[in-house]
Amino acid sequence: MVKIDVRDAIGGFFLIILGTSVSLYSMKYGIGQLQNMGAGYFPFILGIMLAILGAFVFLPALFREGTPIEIDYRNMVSVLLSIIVFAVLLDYFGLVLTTIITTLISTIPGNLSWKRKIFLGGSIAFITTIIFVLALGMTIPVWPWSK
Amino acid sequence: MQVFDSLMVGLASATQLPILMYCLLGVFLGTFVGVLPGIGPLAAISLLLPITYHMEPTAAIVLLAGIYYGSEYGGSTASILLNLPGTAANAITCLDGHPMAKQGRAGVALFMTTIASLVGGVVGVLMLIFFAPSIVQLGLEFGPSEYFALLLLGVVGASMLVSGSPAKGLAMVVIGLILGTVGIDPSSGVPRFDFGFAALLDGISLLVVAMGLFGIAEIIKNISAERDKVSEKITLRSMTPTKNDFQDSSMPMVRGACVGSFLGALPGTGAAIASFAAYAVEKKCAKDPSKFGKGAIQGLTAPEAANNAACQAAFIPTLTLGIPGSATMAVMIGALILHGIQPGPLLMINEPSLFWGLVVSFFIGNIFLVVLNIPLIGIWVSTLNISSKLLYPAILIFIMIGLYSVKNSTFDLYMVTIIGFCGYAMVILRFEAAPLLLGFVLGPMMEENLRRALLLSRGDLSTFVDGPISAGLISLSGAIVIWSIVRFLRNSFTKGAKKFSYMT
Repeated sequence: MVKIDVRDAIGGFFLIILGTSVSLYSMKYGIGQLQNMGAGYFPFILGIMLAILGAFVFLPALFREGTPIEIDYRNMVSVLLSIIVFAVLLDYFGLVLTTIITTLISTIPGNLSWKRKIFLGGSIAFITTIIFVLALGMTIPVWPWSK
Repeated sequence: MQVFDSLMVGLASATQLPILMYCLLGVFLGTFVGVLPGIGPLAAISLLLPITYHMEPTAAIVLLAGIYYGSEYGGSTASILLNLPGTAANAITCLDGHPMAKQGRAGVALFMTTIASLVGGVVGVLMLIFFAPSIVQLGLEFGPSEYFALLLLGVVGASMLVSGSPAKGLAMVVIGLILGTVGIDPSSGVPRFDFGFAALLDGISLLVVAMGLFGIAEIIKNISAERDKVSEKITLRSMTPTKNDFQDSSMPMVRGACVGSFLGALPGTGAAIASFAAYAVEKKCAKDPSKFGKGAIQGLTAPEAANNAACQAAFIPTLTLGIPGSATMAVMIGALILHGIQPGPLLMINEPSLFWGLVVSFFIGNIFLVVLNIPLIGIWVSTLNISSKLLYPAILIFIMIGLYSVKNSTFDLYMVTIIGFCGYAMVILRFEAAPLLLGFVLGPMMEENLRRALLLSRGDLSTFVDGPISAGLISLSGAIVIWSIVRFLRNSFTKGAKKFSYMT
């Protein structure tokens, strides 16, 4: 296997990049002096600190062996995609339909039967309509035709 | 005595029927959330935050607080029965709780942890009552240097006392501080890091960060996982402990409660660290340390008392100084601000019925919790058997609706997708999320006080070590940094020697 600690190496590297970018970008807000700090002073210092800390994480990781990374791509894509779908569809399709469609996506990793997925989506839609729209009185469109 | 009068005010406030109901609801939800592995009080409080908009401030805070300390009661259930911690603080409970269950003593374990939680909770509240007035007096004399030093201590404490390298913890805090700068800078009016999005001018929403890092990341991790089922029946009779159990547990509970109260009151450290510390202390005090890890009741009751004490004690800095005692308290402060209440030393003075009503509700809540966790333990056992595949999609929808309902906008949903992705990346790369949240909440306060202190001292940095309070706090922060670095270096050079494993 690879002879470096991949997690800390990637993490540390990313910290260095993030820190330097933040510092560079914050210069455009004006640094000012210690006794009269500009808007960019605090983020500038923080960015430098982050880059230094990133180096402290990155460099030792190159000489140390670590465990391999396991990413659950299916879970990740299903969950994140379902949030985006929910956001896009809510205003058009209303709460009930959007919930059902979203649940169909988020249950992909769960390997449930289609019937179960639709039933789950329907029950969640029912419960949330009762709690959020009826009991708490939130203005969320429930059906495609309700505005 | 003035405290007595204040408690009377609190009692009048807390015993109004709506408040009692919200207290009960809060501790019920808290136990529920605590029982379920994966979703913790932080996610639950963030989720319910927008819903409390329409409630009265006292009721809202009593509810949210109930969720917080309630979850520390319920969290031990999954730890004992399934060897899965319900909340981060319950990881230690698995070590001796689960072996006890395997020995057929699950009922006793559940009973004793509830009692331990009660002892811890009560001690924590008593600490709050005793120390709050004096701390408020002290806090009124705080200047910007003192505030900055205290915030620094909180931030350093949170980042250094996590497991893993101090550099990673500190880096997370710094990222949180940076995220906190997004939006219009209050001192200069300059919009920072908004990249043209009008929705970012107010900064990134606290809910988005909390839900993304703690809710979404957990859901991604667990949505396909299947948990073992609990097969045993827990009857009331199986729960009665022996006299020995009581005798063996009494001192550990007291010690645990003291450790927990102390650590919980420190800004930054929360229930998890308190429970680990209490376990370590208990092991050192034990006559037969080899029994730990195999079902020693001391190893169970001390951490449970500690985590509840820490929960209650975390309110001390939060309510008296406006500085979060733990990551969850940071969200609680957000809730107070939402309801137009300014946290800080003036809170106790300006809103006595809120402050003392909350304190009295803690007592009432702890009693509710004993009832919920002993006679009604059956409910929670069956809850554990609900499949993750059904539960997590439902929680996901709740999160999304909750976020949407704040501003009736979908922008926050897109933001939470990004943050959720980052949160999952952090889980994969083994970076802690709690320090980031703490940095995010404390960042704006730190910057403001730093600026003000330097403005007053005309750029002189020694202003932070001039006053006794700020000098003391700064040195304490420095000591924690040095100690953490030493401990880390020592651990990395002792090959494979693990005293006891943290929850990684």
